[in-house]
Amino acid sequence: MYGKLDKRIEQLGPQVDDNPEIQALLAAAELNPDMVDSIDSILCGMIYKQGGDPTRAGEFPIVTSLPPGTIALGPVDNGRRCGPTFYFPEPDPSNLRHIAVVGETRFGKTTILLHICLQRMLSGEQVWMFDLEDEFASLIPALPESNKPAALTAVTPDHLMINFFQPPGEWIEPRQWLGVIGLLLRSQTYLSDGSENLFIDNVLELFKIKGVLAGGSEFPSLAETLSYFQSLKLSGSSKRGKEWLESLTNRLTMLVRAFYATSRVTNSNMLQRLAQQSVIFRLRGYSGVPLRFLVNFLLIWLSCYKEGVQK
Amino acid sequence: MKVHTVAIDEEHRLHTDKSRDDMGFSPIVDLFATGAKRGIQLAISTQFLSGIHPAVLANLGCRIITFLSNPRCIWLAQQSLGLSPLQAKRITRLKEREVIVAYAGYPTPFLVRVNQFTFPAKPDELSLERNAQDFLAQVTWTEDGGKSFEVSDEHIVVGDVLRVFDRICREVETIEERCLALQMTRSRDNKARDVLKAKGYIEVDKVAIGKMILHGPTSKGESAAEKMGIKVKRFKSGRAHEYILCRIEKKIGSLNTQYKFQRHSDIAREFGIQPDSVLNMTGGFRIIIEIVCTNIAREAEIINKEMTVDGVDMVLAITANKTLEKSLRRVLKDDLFEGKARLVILDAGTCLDPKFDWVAVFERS
Repeated sequence: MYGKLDKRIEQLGPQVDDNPEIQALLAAAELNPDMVDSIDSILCGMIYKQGGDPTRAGEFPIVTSLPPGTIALGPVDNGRRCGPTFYFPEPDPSNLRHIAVVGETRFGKTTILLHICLQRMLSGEQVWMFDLEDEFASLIPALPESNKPAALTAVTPDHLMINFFQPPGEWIEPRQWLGVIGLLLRSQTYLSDGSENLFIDNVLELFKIKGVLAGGSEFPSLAETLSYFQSLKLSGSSKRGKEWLESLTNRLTMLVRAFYATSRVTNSNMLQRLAQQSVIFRLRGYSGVPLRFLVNFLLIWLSCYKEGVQK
Repeated sequence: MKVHTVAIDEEHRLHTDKSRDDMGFSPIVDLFATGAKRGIQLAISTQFLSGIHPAVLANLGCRIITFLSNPRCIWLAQQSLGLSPLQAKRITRLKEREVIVAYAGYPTPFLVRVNQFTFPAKPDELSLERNAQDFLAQVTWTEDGGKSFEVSDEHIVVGDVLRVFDRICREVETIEERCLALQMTRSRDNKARDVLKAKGYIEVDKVAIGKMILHGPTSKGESAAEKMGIKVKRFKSGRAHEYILCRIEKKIGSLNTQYKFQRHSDIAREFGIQPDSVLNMTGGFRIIIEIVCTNIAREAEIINKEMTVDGVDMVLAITANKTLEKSLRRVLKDDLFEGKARLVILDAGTCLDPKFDWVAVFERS
């Protein structure tokens, strides 16, 4: 008679039959089907109070206990009542698990991510945040004074005084790191294989000129590298070789334009310092090749840095 | 080993298109696969589960799903989280702050009501700049001295100037909107615009929208942009026209997700005209939106015809400013017409104000 309410009425038995208020609501529901959902909630609450399972068959299970941890995301929904709170346990370095939040816009993805970042920072971890929509800066006032200012810095690419050719540490040979940058440049800026080889061979020449391979600490800047390629004449080379040089020069020009502040830096300890603390990389306004190149560079840099620190 | 968390918001924006992504090197995928060994924990948010690389999916310890409506995304979420068909159906009914969690330490997925997290307001640009400068004071770096870099005319357009020029070419927006998008203070934007104006690359749009100013590239700017590889967005009806139409659609669209806008509609084909936009509201209520920036007499003629189109309940004429509004009212008053639809004339400066009550405009109908 009441559709989906029938099962619940059956489950509650005399509790419904003897309750005049529920009976009155059920009578009203016959005239107004919109009331069914509200009555369903009331009946679910009654079932839950009895210790029963109000969840519809096949829907989500009743969760009674979950591992405790550091970050409370919220209570688990057990039908109509709150279950235990879901926590992100303290990350176990020996068994680290990654996290993905998936969903459509305006349903709280960023808020969840912000909360995770804040809690991780409060527990003393370093967090690198890549903020593409300018929403993470509110974490700065959210941190208590004791954690500031050393713990969190917000930088835009204009503040990044870094040199892309400078390896993360002494444990990586400049030549080896150049190979990584060559690969990154190729994959993120769509260079063909030939251009990548041309890039590595000629930057190695620049390394020799600057004395990098002999232990020098001044790396060629991005602007210097661009100038070098602009002045390069490929004598006796094929049409393809000239095309490689042209596309390579175009990509380097694009990077110099996008990261103009960085383009003259030859040596810097900025990334090593940033690795010791939490950072918000404010990347709003950047898109396409420069954005992907920078984010991927920073990720690969951090990965190599951490690997070296472990060694 | 100390854990380092890397959070990437809107991770899908870093994806390249599929064909090019096969070049075989993706640091994000690599970090997911091996980052844990180096003490790196990744936390990403994305709109498309389908865009996540299989190697990334395989290394996820915690998957959190919020509302999804795309059937393919729902199917993928069902597969990825191991949801039953009934559980998968719930994805389309998830409310704000309701999520489904599949957690590596727990055998089944479950539903979580996320706590209300409120964060303080974002600091202003000056405070953020000070924060960055405080940090930069502790950093040491050396520069090449600039001797090696030949400065050509094109190279002068770099840094802020380039970013502002790129934005002006690609987007139609006010100075405030651009500053917000580029995270720039107004004075930096001013300086950049001064350089661009001196080079003759940009100009102020001739049509004033209330107190708002729009900039666009000059023909010299357009050819310079092409050389620099910057894509210039061109509009058939002018920048001010496009700006007003986009913002009006956005404002009205935010009232109800069911409202659908149709550009290039052939609703008035019999009259040989094409409305700027047709708004189909719930309940079959249909509104023609006409933007009036120039040529009042011609626009008044079009509006008159649109008011006689079958199935149209209202014609919403938005003028760029109050002067145009007065002129349009004067012309339309003098005209004789037998319109079936109601006519509402507004000026963009007023109706683009955040406090403007759109509901009242529609309720009167």
